[in-house]
Amino acid sequence: MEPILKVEGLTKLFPVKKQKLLEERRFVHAVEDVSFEVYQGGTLGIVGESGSGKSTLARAILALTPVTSGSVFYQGEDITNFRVGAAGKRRLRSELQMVFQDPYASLNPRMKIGEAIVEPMLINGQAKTRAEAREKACHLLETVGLRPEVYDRFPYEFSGGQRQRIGIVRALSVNPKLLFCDESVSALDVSVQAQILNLFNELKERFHLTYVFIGHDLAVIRYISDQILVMYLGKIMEIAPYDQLFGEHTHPYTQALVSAVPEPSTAGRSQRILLEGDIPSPVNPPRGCRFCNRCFQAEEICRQEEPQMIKTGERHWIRCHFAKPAH
Amino acid sequence: MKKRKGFLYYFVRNKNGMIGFAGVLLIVVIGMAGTLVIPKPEGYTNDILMAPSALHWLGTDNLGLDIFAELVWGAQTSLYVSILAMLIAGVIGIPLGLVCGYANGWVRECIDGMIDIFMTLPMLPLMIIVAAIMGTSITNVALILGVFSWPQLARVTKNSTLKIREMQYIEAATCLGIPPGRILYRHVLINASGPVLVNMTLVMASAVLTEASLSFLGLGDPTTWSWGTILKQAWSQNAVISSPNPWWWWLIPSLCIVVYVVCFNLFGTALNDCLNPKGRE
Repeated sequence: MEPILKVEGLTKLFPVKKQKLLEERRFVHAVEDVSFEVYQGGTLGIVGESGSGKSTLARAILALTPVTSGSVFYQGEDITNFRVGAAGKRRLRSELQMVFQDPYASLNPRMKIGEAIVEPMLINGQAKTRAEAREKACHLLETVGLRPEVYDRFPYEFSGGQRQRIGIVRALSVNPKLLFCDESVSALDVSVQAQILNLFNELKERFHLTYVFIGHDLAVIRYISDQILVMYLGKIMEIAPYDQLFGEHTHPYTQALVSAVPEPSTAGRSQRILLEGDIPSPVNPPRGCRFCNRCFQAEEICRQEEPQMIKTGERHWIRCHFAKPAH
Repeated sequence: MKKRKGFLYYFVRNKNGMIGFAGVLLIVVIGMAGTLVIPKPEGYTNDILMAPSALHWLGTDNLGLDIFAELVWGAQTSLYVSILAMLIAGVIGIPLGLVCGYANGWVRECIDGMIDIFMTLPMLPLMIIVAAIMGTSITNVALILGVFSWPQLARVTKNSTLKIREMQYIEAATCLGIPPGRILYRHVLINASGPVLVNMTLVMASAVLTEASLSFLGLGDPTTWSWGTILKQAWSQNAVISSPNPWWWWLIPSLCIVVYVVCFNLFGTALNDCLNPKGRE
């Protein structure tokens, strides 16, 4: 089966502004050499702490920021930086959509809800006339549990959860096939988070969507994803099927993340792995393994040599010197 | 769903704004309606330099012309000049500011450079030269004012655009395939409208000041009345230092200019406060 989205060696560097005249050009290594595949109907979860490059990765794929190197394939076609001509671009701008992180900042405060939903539909050709667009918008609003009256209201009249539903409707209005959710529930209350996650699951069935779900909360990601990609400092540390992520043979960083997931239990926990220090500066990433100076298993080789991705099982890769390759 | 109060609710409760608005409205009504009722003061009469009285509310000048009538006709000129100057400055400055704030690379550098050059030009001497070359008509004065005040408007628009373009809803619009031109006017400009509107009223206020300066220097239109023209005539007849002093001749036009500028500034500031949801308290 051909993957719906395939990313190969994607790298995004941001130049650092020079402080002195005669200074070597330096770069923030936001995303480096990231490769993965997403299959039709699947959900890929991307986890990592703040500054690990998850959002930049999504923006680079969606051509919201130019890619430094590497390529992106959508349904087998090279769409890196959306260099595909006007008609192709219009198709991509409707088939690849994003639900943004901050429901308060992602809606234009001076534009009525209906207008925000109808505008892209008319531009991308999902509706011929305004009346048709309006009908479709109202139908979608009902699908996500909002009353159609919200059509003529302004964003400030809504709560965070309601706004996120509006953001979802806006993304769905252009008939997307692949939906990126960039921390789409992080800004919401826990109870609302659950509602929105359930909504995402419902919509997936209904509209035959494929998700790339970005987040920092492993508990949320594991609820929705079937394949999980762990990022650290711009690089992939591990790609694992969701059920293997909580097993024995994982990357030390993943183990630390997993042990940090709160579990409602009265029994004493086995052991929580606490990482020391902060994520290092992405301007001068450590030589050798990116994770070496916070890793509890690090040895000399980790500081000297960067490990490669090692396939340890069916659809399971780990970037660690101590990973056991599959036979 | 909570319903917040609109712009008008706050504007009506803004004391300074209402004072400014009342002043602006008064000037507009006088400038429009007054000239229909009061004939244009022309020629000369025998009532020379009369103090304010029931017959001549604000006295007369050295040609025996009614100062009130001159002020009313001057108000019309001021409005015409400032509105035309504002429109010209807006038509040039706002699009350039939007593009400058949204574009990257050489486009931004070029417009930025143009704004800087225009801002460093010595305005008044240049305007005097241009007015001298183009001839003294009221429309020319307005044209010059407009062409010289767009950089201020462009800079304000650019600064707002720089801030707004980083907002997530702009990225969302790009992601939804909205073309850049449409993003600029439907998403950026509408959110920058507060500071831009305020600066348009400021351009109107300063246009009146500059028009008065030009008229005072004799570069206004000699066939139309303006507050600067009245002052120029008073000055040329030594009205300010002569004794007994015809104070109504020079003091009242000066006050008119002050009131006009202050009212427009108050109105503009209140507009900004009420358009911006954070400034409404």
